[in-house]
Amino acid sequence: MDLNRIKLKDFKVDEKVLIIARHHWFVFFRDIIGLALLFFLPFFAVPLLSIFVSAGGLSIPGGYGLFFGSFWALILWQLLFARWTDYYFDIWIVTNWRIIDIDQKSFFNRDVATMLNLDRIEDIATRINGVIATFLDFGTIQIQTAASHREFIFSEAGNPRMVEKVIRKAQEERAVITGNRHHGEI
Amino acid sequence: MTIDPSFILWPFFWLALVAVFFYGFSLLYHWIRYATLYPLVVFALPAYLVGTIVLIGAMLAGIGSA
Repeated sequence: MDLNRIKLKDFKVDEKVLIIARHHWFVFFRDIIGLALLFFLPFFAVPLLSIFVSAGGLSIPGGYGLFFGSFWALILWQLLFARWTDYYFDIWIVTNWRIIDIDQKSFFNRDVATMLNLDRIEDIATRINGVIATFLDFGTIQIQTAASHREFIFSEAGNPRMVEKVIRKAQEERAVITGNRHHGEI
Repeated sequence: MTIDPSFILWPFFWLALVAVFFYGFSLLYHWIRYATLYPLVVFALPAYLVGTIVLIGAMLAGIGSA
């Protein structure tokens, strides 16, 4: 993905995207385990139902099985992509000026907000907690700021140390530019 | 007078179609509107459409053979 092509409406002239942080794919995988279990439910339920029905001297026509199987799969298919959209659209955009938080809460409920400017950052910490998180490399990025809302958290971010590194580097560069401006060098 | 047994399947079919309309519209709206930020939409969109069409077709086939 070419980050230079990304432009939001209120971007400053020299503002450019450095990295887009997302939740790790494991978060999505964990979310859809329930859907996967539901998908396989008819494979166990229908044979059981057939046994009961045939015990009563009746039979279920094959077309009904196909219909309800497809009906079930279709509903789950919609839910799967709704979950994926919810997961995939939830991002942090780190630019050379600020961090923008895009929070896709549900359909037609989307928050886009400048979370903080880089020069407001006091400290960044990354927490990788647990065996799975360690092996798959995801964790929580925690940013302390000087603003009234003191702490910002991005949970279960993929490759959090790299994101932290990019933010730190951008913050240092921003500090140099801001410092130079204060000294009248630019 | 006999009632076609597939008659009871049609309400479920229309129910599914209403759900698909709601989800389909919502998903496509978000995917197309914000496509520049989300490159994987290019793969998700055709996969979603193909899956949805195949499953609706399978439902109709089920009604036809019921």
